[in-house]
Amino acid sequence: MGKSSWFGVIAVAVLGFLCQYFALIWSPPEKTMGNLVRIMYFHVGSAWIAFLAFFVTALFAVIYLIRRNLLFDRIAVASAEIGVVFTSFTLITGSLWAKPIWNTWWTWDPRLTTTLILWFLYVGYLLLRGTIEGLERRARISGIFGIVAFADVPVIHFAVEWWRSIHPQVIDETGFNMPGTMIFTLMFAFAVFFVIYLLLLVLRTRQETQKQRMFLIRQGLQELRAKAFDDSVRGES
Amino acid sequence: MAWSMFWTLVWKELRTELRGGRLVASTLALGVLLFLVVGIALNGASNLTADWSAGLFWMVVFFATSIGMTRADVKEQELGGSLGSLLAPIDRSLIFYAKWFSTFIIVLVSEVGMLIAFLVILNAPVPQNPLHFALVVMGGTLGLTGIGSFLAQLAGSSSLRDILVPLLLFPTTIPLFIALIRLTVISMVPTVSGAHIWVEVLVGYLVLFAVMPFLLYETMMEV
Repeated sequence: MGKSSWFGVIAVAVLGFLCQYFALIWSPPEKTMGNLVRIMYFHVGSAWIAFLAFFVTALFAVIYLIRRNLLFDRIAVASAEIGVVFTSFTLITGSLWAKPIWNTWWTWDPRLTTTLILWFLYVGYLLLRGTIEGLERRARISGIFGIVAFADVPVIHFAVEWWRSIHPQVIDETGFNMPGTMIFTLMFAFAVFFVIYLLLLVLRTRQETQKQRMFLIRQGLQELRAKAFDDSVRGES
Repeated sequence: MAWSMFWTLVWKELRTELRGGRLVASTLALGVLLFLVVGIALNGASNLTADWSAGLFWMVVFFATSIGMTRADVKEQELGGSLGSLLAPIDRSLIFYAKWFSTFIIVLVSEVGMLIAFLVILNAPVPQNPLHFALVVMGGTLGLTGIGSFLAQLAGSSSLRDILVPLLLFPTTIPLFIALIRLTVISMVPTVSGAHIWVEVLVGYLVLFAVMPFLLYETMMEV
């Protein structure tokens, strides 16, 4: 890691500690849920980042299919991987929150169900990507699925919402349904998760670039070896 | 020109199926077997509610079709027919729509068999509104085969193709799945309301997956 990456890691650590302070000590307990509400700052923040990550995947998939520059494909896959991690975190924190509030680990709430379907869609995206040969074909095929999956998300959400809903509305058409200190903490947590997302995106894209470069060097080396072998066979004959 | 090419491609797919009957036979056999297994798992399943019956019917249809479609074009791949289609001087999305339509016909045939097994083995309630039920089955099959054909082509070059097609298909088709179950329940018990919402979901889904391949299929089939 370079100097800038280390700076990023230290900034995330400091912001992370501040976020813990705001979420666990500074913000007030909720009227009915009490201290259990504190998990919301991590749950909602990570859910928003997960949706953002999948949007970035679809956006860079479109840009890749137009420009055909593999850098955009690397950004798309890095964002999808981070999105899957944040979605997993959302599902786990959601389940932990649901147990004491709804008295169940899992319920068929639209947002919960949509999030789990989203998780499966992008796990499928990563599996599809990981099992296709050829850099460009892989980028093209996974890019198309990234777009299809993202276009399907609103349809999935509305279908599941019409099916059933019991989720608390943190934000509705009247705005945020919570006091100012809680809104500040929630937005601060979101900002911290966003910085973590950006840092991971840069590091993962850089790693993917190095991986592709290594692959191309190895391929070039194999071609050189094959050529050297051909030359030696020709020389002998 | 485009229409005649479309029908030529559809006829080519149907003839290939008529010669071997791979998709009909595999989908139908798997579907009937699944009804049998579900019946045993539910201890004879003699008294299922409309909700349960509709859910089980579509679960079996989705599962059997997705497994069948993963290998639907093996013969074509072996004999180089797919490459020949790609060389035709037509918009490539036309190849997709022909494949979609032919798969729709083939799956519909196997669904007739599955429906009989569903009514007999699971002792399911006969739909009180058969015309409504027939339209739901046709709409559902159209949606399922559309996205299924697209994803089967998409995952065609993957080494995990057999497992990936159902894995990609199920999460993608959840809205369709929910809409079909609700509409099937309504066709079985006409007193249940709310059909218009699910018809909107079904039509919206069909439109989405009819337009998207038109935009993306050409890119997908680049050699």
